Amino acid sequence: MAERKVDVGITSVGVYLPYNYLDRATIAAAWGTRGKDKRALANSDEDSITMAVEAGLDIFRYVQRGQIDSVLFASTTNPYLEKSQATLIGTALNLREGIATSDFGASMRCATSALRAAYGEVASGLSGQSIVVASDMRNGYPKSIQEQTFGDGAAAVAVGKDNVIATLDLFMSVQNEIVDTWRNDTDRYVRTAEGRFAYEEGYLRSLRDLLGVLDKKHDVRPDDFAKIVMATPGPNDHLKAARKLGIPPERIQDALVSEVGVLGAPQPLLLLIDAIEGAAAGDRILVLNYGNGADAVLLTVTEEKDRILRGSSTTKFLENRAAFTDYGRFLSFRGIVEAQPGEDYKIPASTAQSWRERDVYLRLHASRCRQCDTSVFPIQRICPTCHALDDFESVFKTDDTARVFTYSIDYLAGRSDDPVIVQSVVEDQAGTRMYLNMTDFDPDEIEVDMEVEFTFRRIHELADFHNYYWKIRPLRRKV
Amino acid sequence: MIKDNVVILGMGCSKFGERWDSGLADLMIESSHECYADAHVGPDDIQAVYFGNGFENNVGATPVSEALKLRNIPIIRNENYCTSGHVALINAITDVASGNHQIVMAMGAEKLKDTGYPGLGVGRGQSPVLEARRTAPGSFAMIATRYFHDYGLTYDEGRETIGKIAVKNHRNGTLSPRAHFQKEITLDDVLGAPMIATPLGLYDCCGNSDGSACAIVTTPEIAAKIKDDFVYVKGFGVGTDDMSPEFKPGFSWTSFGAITSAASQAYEMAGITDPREQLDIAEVHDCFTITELIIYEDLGFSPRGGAKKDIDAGFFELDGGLPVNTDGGLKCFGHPVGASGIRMTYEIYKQLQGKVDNSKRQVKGASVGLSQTFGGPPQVSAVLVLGNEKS
Repeated sequence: MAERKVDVGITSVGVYLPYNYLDRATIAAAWGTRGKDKRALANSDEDSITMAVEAGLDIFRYVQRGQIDSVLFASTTNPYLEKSQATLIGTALNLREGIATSDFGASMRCATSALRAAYGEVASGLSGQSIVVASDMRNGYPKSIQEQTFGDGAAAVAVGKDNVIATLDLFMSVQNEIVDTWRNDTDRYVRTAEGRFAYEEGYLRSLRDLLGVLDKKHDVRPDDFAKIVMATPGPNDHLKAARKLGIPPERIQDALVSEVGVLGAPQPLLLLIDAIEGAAAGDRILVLNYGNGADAVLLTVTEEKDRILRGSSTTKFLENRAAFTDYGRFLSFRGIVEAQPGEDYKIPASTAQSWRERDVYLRLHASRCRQCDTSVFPIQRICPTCHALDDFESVFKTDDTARVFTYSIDYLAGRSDDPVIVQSVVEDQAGTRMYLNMTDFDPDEIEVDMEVEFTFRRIHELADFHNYYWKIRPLRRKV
Repeated sequence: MIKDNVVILGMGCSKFGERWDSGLADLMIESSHECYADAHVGPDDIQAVYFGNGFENNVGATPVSEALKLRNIPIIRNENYCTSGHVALINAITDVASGNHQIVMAMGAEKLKDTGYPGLGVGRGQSPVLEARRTAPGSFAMIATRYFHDYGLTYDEGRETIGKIAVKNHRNGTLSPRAHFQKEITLDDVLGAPMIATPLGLYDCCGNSDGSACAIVTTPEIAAKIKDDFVYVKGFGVGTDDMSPEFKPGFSWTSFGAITSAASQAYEMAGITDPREQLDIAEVHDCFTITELIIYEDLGFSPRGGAKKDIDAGFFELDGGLPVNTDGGLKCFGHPVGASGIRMTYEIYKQLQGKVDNSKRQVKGASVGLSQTFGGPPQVSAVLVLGNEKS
């Protein structure tokens, strides 16, 4: 195995899984078929960008914003086909405008490609630390097995040189040009070739080739690893392939297919995070990712891991979610059926206004008066308490919590397929008052003084662009 | 000094309701021609018009000149949320008081039912992002949640308390031929109605209608040559808070500076020190039942936290100590935004003249009355005090 020149590795981890899950039986019942277990389901106000921001926010549990010099975003379900998503994510994460950003897409290997690029960023010294964030919400055809098995979510890691919790030891790839799983530029749904062909000549062949190269060229074999993360295109492909490839089943990291589903781009990252969090110092981890060829990433967990990491990032979200029971609304949330239109806001959104107000809309900045300490949102040039002009500090609120001051569960304010909006006024510890809608709530648990956190969401599509802003929700990330 | 130096010479008020067959011009012709007849003046006598119109109808003030064929005079539009008409009337009063004009019209009109949807819609103001999905019921409902919290009312106690306001206003509405709704309801109807925005159910929300109301103001000297039952302007005030309550640091959500400041301006001008005793009648902004409750306290009708006791005692009923919304209020008239403040003032004007269109709701001996509007996020309020005697 090649000698590492520098100790580049994972310095922080973050995960996001949506509040909603769908019992596969709910989907199956609509089609007269059978389904078991659960799939994670993005809410009507979520997309790959918002979920990436969620996972990204959790990164700052273990690293500071000022250490981050680049953001690499990986997804096959980008809300924008042309426009940087990584830049928007970096903005919402309150990273400075001087960072580098890159967008990785198209391939199911985009997250491991991004991780490899981040390694290069850090190893070369271009970035002190780099965030890799992957997010996806893929659509299977209605009635297809993918409709049931795909899940939505996001995962992020930071890569750096100091306080590394798992060193990145080796990246290795093989290519396999095959049309086995694909989506054309105008397609809404993922297409698949005949199953056995895709499995045997795609997934299995590529993993076999990759393991062969690892064995011959680098003298490593599955037995050398405490945990093996196998990305899988379907619920059981990884287990089937493992048997063929001599991978010990007890070392395969649970792919979370039964609780989350097949995650798409973030799958290898999320499973890697699970593996690291469950590993012991010195454990070696092998990540096998697939998509028209295969990527291997080899890591070794360090002693820093136990010093730095706390708890399971995935469990935190899995233990705090709710069943979504309406198949019709599921189709509408995905844009598969068009629900009765609601009433639009009367004033069109403005690209210029949204740009000008990005510190408020996207970064959730309040102003804190340097004269009298009054904290007010959105940013006010004149202090409402002492009338000081332009004498304020701009403070971001995304990492804080707040308490509900007053609220109303409004049954008519939302869109027709998601009508209930919790109008809320919250107050944080600085006394900042904010009016924000609540999301991911249980209506029976909302009360004055309840603690809430901030979550980045897609608000509407007025003026034909995606309008993002912050909402509040009962604690999930900050539990 | 304005008190007693400006008078309301005449007023008119259209039928309010879903006026599918009437446009904005028809509504304005209806109220203006009643007003001309009442004031004994005609279009050629009008020297200026202040036009209150808020939401959907055109821009500018030309709808008035087009509809009423008023030409070559200043016609000025005022839009200020739910106070639009009320502030237009106050502008007309200050115009006469300034001496610039002597016979001035205030016209409030709104045609909401051409919008194609019920309610006022979602969002208004400056940011389609910050205001996304913010509704009028949701915004005002947050007052109720906090009021119940601060004054120790359970959800059910709170709902019953504000529900009684809906029952009262609906009862008054049955005596009010121009109101949109003339339907008696029970507290059970209120509590059992579909929920709109907790804790406000359907009957806690006012209707959405078309309507118009009009006033002609002048000096007491001119009025005295025309008729003897004109009504004196005693005082007025307009208050605007510096920030939307949703974002205002430290805001209580149980009392609004816009209301208390508008009231104190008006009371000072009118010489009112004890409104609960000195006022005989009031029309206040019951866009939602909770709004009427907090207005009782902000206008000084009830002590802080004391509205429930007064409501339970029937103090604001037609036969109570201070009858409020004797014509059924916004609850029964609906709220064609630009018209409402002048429509409320029309009820006060008629009550003070002893000429209410249904004598069953005439408050006997009323001599000082108040109209009040409140609107925005909510953030702006207007108050006008009238009297039928010079003091």
